[in-house]
Amino acid sequence: MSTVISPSHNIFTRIKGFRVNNFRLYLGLFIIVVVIAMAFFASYLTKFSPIQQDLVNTLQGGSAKHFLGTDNLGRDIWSRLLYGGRTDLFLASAAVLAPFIIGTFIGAICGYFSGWIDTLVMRIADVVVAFPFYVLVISLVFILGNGVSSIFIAISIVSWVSYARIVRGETMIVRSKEFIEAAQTGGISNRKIITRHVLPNVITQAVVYAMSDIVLNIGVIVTLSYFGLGIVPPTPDWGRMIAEGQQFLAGGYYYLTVLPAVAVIISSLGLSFIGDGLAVVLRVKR
Amino acid sequence: MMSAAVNILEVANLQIVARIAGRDYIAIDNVSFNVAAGHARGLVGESGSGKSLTLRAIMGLLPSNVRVTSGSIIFRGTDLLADKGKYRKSVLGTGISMVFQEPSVALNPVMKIGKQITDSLVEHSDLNRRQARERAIDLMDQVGIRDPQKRVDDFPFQLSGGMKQRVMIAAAIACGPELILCDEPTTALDVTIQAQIIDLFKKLRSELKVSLLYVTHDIGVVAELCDAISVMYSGRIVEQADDINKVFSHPKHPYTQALLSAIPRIDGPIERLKGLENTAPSLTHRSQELAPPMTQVEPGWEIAPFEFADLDQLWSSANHD
Amino acid sequence: MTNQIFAANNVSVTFNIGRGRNKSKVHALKAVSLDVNQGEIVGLVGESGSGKSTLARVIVGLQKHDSGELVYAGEPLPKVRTLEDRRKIQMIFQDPYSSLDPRMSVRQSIFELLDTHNILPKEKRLDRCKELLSLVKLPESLLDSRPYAMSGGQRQRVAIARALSLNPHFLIADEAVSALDVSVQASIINLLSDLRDSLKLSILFISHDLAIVRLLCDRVNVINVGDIVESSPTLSLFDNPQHAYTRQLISAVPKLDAIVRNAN
Repeated sequence: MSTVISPSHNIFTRIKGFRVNNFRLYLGLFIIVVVIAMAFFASYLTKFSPIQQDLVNTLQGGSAKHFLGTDNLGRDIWSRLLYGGRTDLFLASAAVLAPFIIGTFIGAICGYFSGWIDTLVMRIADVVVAFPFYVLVISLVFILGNGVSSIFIAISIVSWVSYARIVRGETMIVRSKEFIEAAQTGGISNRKIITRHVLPNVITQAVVYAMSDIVLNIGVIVTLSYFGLGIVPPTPDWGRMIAEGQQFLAGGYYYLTVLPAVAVIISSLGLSFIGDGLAVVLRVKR
Repeated sequence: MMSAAVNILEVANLQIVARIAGRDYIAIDNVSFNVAAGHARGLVGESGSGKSLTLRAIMGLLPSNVRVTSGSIIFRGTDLLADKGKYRKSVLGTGISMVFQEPSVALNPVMKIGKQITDSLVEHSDLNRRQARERAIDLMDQVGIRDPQKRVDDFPFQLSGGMKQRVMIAAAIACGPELILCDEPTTALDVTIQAQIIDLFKKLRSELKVSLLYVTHDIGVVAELCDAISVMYSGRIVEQADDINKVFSHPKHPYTQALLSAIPRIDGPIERLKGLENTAPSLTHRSQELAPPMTQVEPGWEIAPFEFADLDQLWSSANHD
Repeated sequence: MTNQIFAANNVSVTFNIGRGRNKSKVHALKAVSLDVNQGEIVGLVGESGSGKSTLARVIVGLQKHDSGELVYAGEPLPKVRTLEDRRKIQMIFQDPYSSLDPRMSVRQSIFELLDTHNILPKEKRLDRCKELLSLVKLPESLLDSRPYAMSGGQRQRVAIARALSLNPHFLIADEAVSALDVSVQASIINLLSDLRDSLKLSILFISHDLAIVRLLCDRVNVINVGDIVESSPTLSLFDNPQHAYTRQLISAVPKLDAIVRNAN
């Protein structure tokens, strides 16, 4: 078959070769940039503190003073959305790092060496994955106690598996390529082969997955705080806002719950679009 | 261009364009050749020459970003390209059939081989199952598969590479086609098996009087099997003749000469080969000029202008020592 | 005494495949022996499944053999190769599209080996790189190119340059030209022959293509299903093949009777 397109195997050359009509990617980037900007510049976008209570002006609707109204404790909702976004998004992104690093490392080792270590680690991975994700994370946070570090640890213990599997699969493909054998023939140590030849060529899939993982983490964090676990009040956070606002739905104060929910949805969509778009870009050039 | 023989297939001024990263590139241009009834034409070239694309254009199997932009492919008097390939669809599998390179990919792994052989036959005629099975056994015998009664119910994984290719060929002759299009059918096979398959093709040609259009990069195979030859380079035909021996004994185009001097021959003198340093420029780096018309050496033999294949930059420096 | 650079003596490799009740053994190599003298190009010809690639991998240390020994310049090679051992024998692989790291430039690929083996002080390495490129007839401008920008023939030359950077005396070419276009094949074949002449290199040329082996090699071994069935100097092998399999192979190769080469 004639070679009509020549493949480029490097993540950097792929980014340069963007497709002009990659709508999803641009839409996702746009949304996320806006969301992140809003969260980052929270202090400029609102003069209210998210935790300042004002028991005189509770449950007010939108007004010139309080853009989106106030909640049951008189806190400004717009401000809580912005600062809550800061907490949630930052945490969701940071919580991806440890599993990414751990999972990639483990996956590369398993894929490269195979044998008993591969079997052992993959069985452990199977056990972890056998539990429903949320059940496991929630239980762990419950055991470890509240706080941001518990969330980090819980997510890390559970999430590394996906990265390990992805990287393991990619590593096994790369390992059979002749340039790995050429390196072995040349006497290069396994350690150097893995770090210099294997990892750079397998990491792109893990990066794409990391995008969707952040979305998952947002869901986890929001769920955890909805149940009162994880993030401790008064730190603002969307999940807690949703939980606390529930009891006021009947009274018609839907915006207490709906607004943070909408924020979660928009952020998740944005990240999903980026993930989809990235997958398309990277797949084309493979 | 052709002598008085009847042509089964007439390709005229075929141009194919590929769309890559938003831009159009000419993949092949001004490709014209005929396949005479009962004859075999070899379409040879190296990678990137356009030979596979040409064949796929005839089959109607071009990738989605590749399209035919001009020219005609006439079979039995009707253009296969006309009417969005409606006529071609009716003719593929009956009048024209195909044999591909990788039988393990072209055969359905979960269907018995007997059934696959007569699949299209059953569709185009009213044979019942028993008759189709008998026909399959006949065909398997014709292509040299031993114990066809036992093997007709086998699955592809039970067969060797050579056997699978015979099954493909049996499927190709099942409907009694006039023309078989071959896309490198022996490239993936060991040389001993390849020899058997070439013998099979020769046998079928003389028994069934079927015509062949045989695409390959292997000139040796074409020498054994074909009557006519077209040599492609960088999307154009550089030399073609109805009598392959003329081209082999006195190649007129520099590229053909270079190609022939690069081939190691087992029956030739032991001497240094002459190679080309690099392959032709890739599709996106080629000149987009249209192909100039061919010149006739004698009736039935024509070549492209010499300037086309800029071989000076490709000649290996070792040749000039 | 001959100046034998390499010998394989009674090398056997058996693979265990399948599990449980479906276990079976595949005898990839059955007590195979061959030798290569200094400055020789020796051919190893076989079809798929013959074991020729397994033997290549055993010789270069990628595959463990179950019995037999490998002898380099009179000394047996240890089961676990040292860095120094790696400099003795090098290999050119079949697929030019996967034998180079797609992320590394030519310079980086060669430097990596020079660095690992501590060859030459750092200041001299760039010159050595350029030297190697000119040895394989590649322009210096390709030093910082990556594989995707090069043709198959160019990549194979880079692979050869990389192998030569360790100054091996013995090179294995495992179907090194099989994935290349015919016209480019010829130039790589010529290159190997020239390197043998200029560097006094010894080469084991493994291929399924008898015609190439006949033109390039001084002696030929024919391997079939794990056994070397015939071994003799090239001319006598082709003029007077002894073994039935050799005869079968030779007769199966397509011949171009009517060609007359045009001198150009």
